[in-house]
Amino acid sequence: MAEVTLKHVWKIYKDSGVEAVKDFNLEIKDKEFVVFVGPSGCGKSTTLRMVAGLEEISGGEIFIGGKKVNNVQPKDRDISMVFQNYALYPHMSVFDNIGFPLRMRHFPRAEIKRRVEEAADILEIRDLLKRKPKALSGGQRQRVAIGRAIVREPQVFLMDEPLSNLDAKLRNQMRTELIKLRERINTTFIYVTHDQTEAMTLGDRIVIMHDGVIMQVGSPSEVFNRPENTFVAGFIGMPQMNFLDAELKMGAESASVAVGGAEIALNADHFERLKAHGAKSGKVTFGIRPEHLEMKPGGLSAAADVSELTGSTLNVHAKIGGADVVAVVQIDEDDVEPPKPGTPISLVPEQKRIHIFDPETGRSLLYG
Amino acid sequence: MSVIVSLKEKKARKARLKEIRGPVTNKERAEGVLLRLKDVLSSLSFSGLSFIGVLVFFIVPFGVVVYYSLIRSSLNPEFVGLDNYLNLIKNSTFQTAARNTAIFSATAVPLAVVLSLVLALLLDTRIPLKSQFRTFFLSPMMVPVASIILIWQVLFNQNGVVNDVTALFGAEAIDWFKSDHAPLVVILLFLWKNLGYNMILFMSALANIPTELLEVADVEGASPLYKFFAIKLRYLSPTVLFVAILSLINSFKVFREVYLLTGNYPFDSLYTLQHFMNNMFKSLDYQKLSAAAVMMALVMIVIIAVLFIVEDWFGKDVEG
Repeated sequence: MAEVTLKHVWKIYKDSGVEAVKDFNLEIKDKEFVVFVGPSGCGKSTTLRMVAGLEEISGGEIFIGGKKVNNVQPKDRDISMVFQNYALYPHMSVFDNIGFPLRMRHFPRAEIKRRVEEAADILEIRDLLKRKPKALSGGQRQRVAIGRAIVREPQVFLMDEPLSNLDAKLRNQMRTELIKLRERINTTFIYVTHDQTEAMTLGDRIVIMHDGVIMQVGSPSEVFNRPENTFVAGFIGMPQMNFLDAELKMGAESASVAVGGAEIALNADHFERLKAHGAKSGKVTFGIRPEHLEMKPGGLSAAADVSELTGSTLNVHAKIGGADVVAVVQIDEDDVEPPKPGTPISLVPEQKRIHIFDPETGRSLLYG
Repeated sequence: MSVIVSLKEKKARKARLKEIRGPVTNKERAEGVLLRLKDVLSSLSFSGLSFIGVLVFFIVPFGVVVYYSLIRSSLNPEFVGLDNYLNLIKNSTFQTAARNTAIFSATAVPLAVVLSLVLALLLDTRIPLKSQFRTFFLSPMMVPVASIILIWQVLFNQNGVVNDVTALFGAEAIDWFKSDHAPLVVILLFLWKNLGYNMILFMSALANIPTELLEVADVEGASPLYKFFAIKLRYLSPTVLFVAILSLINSFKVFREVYLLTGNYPFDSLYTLQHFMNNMFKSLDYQKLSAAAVMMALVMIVIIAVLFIVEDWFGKDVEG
């Protein structure tokens, strides 16, 4: 069993006084794949390194498999780590690099050979075992690094942006292979990335961090569909969610929101949620994802700006009042005529996909 | 066979290039030559001055030294082959000087490399007063030679501080520079002067070792000794080579201090090749001087070449 529990974990750098991680609380279940995601400097890698024992904990407790590991050496935590830049020993062959953890633990030679070859077969690098890392491509190097991590069959895998050094195509390919690998070795994974696509596709749960604080923990669908604050709403999703100043009107039986010169009636579910959150009439932040805006009459009045053709969609940039918005328009025909800059257009938000946030705290008035 | 194949390949490539480029007119060919000439001239304008400097101050003088080592005398420039070298090898003073120099370098250089590396490794750990220690070890570099001589005389003179201390344990006062311990005193002086700089070089090399490699070792349970010999030393090998060469050169330079401390003819165990060459220069025996200089240069070249080969083999995978 390899649950990982972090209780009130803090990281404060003594020299600078920087608070990198603040009161971090999380319970990771056995065999769960959890992804820490957030912008640079949000404390995700620091948290991972604290779990690994490579970074001292300033406060709080970390448990691996029910055992408190605050003062346990990294080698005794039964974890493996994959680094962004592969961290392969350049003077060792692929075989020796993969077998390194076993050699350090004095496994018999025959056992090392068996396990290394097994890992190499899983990662399809059997023919590379005699090569040195410099004779490998980026993708092959990362496979070797993963091989070194899986060969010992540890309780927990820690991965610190393992795909960030690869080009986009290879990253997609490796991502798929990680999903397959996870199914095959089925153990606890903690994965750090700044790439939301990786987070959404790999994680059972996603931990979104900002300035050392957890902003939301949830499944990919939860964080995408029910963001609890403007940070999560803006961070997850590409292009990012549109935010507009709006006026909420709460009635006795229904609610509506006035935005961009239009008044949009909210559905019953939203009304109940607003009531549960104690929302009152007044200024709010209206959020709608670009893919949930439709370009058709009877919606928010906007002035078209530039358009980007991405292939199957057209990203139409526009202005509503002074605010920039983007609408993702699905293209059905081969030749689509994007609206000319300055042309008045109308954007209709999908009613059930509307988000309402408190403009001061940024907290959602619908979820969380 | 492989040469023939490669020539064939070369020819084929040239033909393919010609095919792609199409016919070249004489005018175009002339323009190409002019362009290449311009390239050569512009690169010469950058490297030329340095090359002239090296030629005038190093290559030509060394050529003159080689010439002097092969003639009977400056007044009778008759070619004598290796006679001067053979005479030199038989010369007992030269033998003493060469032996002392070899013993000194063979002891002082490894000590300078190992001790400075140990100091750098110590300062690389989390110890208090790190920067103070660094300054302490670097301070000998800032002390002028005259002051160093004065300090060493105060310490190792017959009436010096060291004798005062050993007297506390019942030892008799000795003149350290005229005893069998003299080379030890000079080695101490050499180490005191050079450890700080070498240490800084090692510290910077240590800082350049990718931390992830050491972290993987930590996670996988490698011992500190394994980490040092299997990982750190690999990355330090170019610096070990550099520090070894630098220390070797500096070990010859210690003559200056020894000369100022003990004069032209020091105690037997302190008489080094530099003393020998200095004395040959004073007695205008340029042939012996030149032959000794050429032999020393050859030995240095061999040692440095061996060091380079070893480093090249040891550190080939971790560089670039």
